[in-house]
Amino acid sequence: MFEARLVSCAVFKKVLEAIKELLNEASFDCSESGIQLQAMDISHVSLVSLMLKSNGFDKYRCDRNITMGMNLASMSKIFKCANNDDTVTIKAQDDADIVTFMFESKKQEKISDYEMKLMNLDQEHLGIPETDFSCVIKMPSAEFARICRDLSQFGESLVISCTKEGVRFSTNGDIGNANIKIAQTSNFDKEEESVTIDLQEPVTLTFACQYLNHFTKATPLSPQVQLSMSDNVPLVVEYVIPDLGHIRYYLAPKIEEDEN
Amino acid sequence: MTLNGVKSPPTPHRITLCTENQEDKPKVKVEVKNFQKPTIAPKARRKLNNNRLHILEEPLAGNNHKLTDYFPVRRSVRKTKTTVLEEKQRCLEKALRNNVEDGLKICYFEDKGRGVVAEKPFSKGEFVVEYSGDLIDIPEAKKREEMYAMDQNTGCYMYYFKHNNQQYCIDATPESDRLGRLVNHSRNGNLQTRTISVDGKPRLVLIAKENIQIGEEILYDYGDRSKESLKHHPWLAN
Repeated sequence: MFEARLVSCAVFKKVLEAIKELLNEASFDCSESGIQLQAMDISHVSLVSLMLKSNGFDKYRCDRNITMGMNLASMSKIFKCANNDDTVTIKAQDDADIVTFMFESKKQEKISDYEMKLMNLDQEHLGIPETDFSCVIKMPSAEFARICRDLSQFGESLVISCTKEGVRFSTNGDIGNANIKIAQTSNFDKEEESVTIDLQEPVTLTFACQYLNHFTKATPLSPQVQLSMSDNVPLVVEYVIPDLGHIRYYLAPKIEEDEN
Repeated sequence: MTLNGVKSPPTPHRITLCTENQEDKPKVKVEVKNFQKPTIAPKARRKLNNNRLHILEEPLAGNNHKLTDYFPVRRSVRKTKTTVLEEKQRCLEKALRNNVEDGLKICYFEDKGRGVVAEKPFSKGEFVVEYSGDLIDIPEAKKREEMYAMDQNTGCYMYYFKHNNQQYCIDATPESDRLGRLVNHSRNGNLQTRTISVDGKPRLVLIAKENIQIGEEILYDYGDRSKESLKHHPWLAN
């Protein structure tokens, strides 16, 4: 028997918004430690790794580890039927082929049940090694989303270069080029508005804008985003989901022209 | 259109059907194509519903590295070391909360009185039993010890330990149905003590130091080497 209950359905809705553009379907691995999801997009260029810890739920029970393959478009249809302040309970029997989502309205006067067929997904799991990154940038998530959106108008790829002076995002395309430079700022009153750079050595990497734009769909989950970069390893874009877990996106760099 | 497949001489009427069919042909072709590649079929269909996914697939053209170039594909569902450790910890906490004392029995020994014997095998590193009693601080422990010292018949059940740099004592002097207090001393026993926080409170657990067979007495080192104690309890030297 698996049962997980969240008093606010809003955060789950946001999580779905954050992954459903990259993934058509995904396996939710439920264990005593929580709900985990790891999946690559179709192109195998990016990967989503989601962790919702069991102690972040208002009620959590998982007698046996189960993997639930779900179609994310269907799941998001179901969650569209729920209000943000509804309580959501996700239920499944061991070895079940359906999952039940139950939404209870705040005053308990309305209870809706949705049953969804589960899918058998044969997904590849990647072993992600722990890495000491050359630079770790923390910045307001809305700012990062804005930069990605703005610069993606000019070119397909975004160059992120991090030095001790700051981070530079740049792109160039047919109309010309664009540059945005962000310097470190500390804002003690509002920590979520500060930009911090933890730099071991300078790094410059190029990424495809469109993936970054998909990642920034997670912006409503967290006021801050963390970008971790090292030469020759995928970029990690992490959003912490307060009290519940995190969502991490991994993105392989673009092939440099001289590599071909 | 179904008539099209029927083998009969063409008639003017049939010819019109044929042209109609030709108009339809491109549509049919697309479908056929989909069936040829069953693996892409569901994606292709979804593409029609969702434009954004369509964009995603286009620049696959190979100007991007793939994640599989960097991260190995795990064929088995092995757990990482940290998840294994976490699970172990959670298991232990659960055992402590439920006061689990399975696979053990009390035995009477001629020379030293009661002791605890394994009724099931324990493997190295496995949780065996908790040393349970009242968790008290040092001043309280001093007070109780003075009280107990007045009665020659009370045994020594005070366990002093350090957890997160703070001294604590577990007093298991009062008789209880818990087994931890009955485990005897040996300088080379088959258990070792460990402290662990459960719900914010330190608990003292006895963990198997080696594989323990059925029928073996479980023992651990009380750790007390002071002259005073040795004088009163010479068995501490064993």
